Amino acid sequence: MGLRLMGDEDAFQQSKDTVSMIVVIPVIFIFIILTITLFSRFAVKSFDVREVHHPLLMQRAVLSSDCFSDGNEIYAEKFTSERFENCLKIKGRNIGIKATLEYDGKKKEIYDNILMTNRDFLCHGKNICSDERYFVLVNDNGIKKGWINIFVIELKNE
Amino acid sequence: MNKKGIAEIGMYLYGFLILFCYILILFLLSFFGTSFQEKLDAQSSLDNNINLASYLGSEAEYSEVNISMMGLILHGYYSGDYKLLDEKTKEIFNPLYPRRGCLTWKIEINLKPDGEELHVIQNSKLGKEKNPGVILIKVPDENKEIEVRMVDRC
Repeated sequence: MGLRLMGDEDAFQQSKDTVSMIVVIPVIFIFIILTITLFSRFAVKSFDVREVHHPLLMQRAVLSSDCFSDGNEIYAEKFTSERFENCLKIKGRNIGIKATLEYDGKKKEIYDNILMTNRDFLCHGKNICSDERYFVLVNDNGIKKGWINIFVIELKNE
Repeated sequence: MNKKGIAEIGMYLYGFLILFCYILILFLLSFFGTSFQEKLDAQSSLDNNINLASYLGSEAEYSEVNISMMGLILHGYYSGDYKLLDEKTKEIFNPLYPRRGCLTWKIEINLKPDGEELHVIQNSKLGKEKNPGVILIKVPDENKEIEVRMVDRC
């Protein structure tokens, strides 16, 4: 088999192919990476759970028999900070809760993590604060109409 | 350059233009497109169910007898008189609002399965209805239920 020297036309064709490969291969990579990036953004859904976490804590405080209720009514004698701290178990976390119970002309305030509860001025930026008010039945020598206000503050670690 | 070369230039330009447009759209979508974020609203409806459950269990004085709001609703169903129910309901729910950015509330009392609207208690017709909480009351001796539905008006 005899060797043949590359002609001008072959050399031109080869250099043209090389240039197009140099351009096309990176473009294909960019194309693939961008496509994956875009589709992963659409495929991964983010759920905003911050607005779920606090209501869950509040609902547990109002309804749980570990706190001060039997699921139907709140027992005035169980409405204490000690019981509150033991029922929600948020110790060691950057959360503070204040619950205020009003009934029959009386007003009682209790705290879970008292260090955090007078930090209303921090309710901005990444910190999350929630405030909710419920109508409840209060058992204090008979069933009385009452309103419980629950304020939650959660400081976010940077 | 021969004719074939000129035709190839046009093809390359066309290909690169399409690629450029595609990449530009991808960049724009990646940086300015909104990511999907979902809020779970069920919790707010549960809050209204808590309020409704306490409301139905609370008592009001009627003809020197203590009667629950649930009893008052049944009384209204049989007699058509919802006056005391209206008064006591407003006493309970007016102090709760405004809350969660919602100015006021509405309570609907409907008959199931007929779907007949028995009574509505509300302060205002303004605002979008949100976060429905629903409790059903069995009507004694009838195969019917009374649906008590509470919504926020936001």
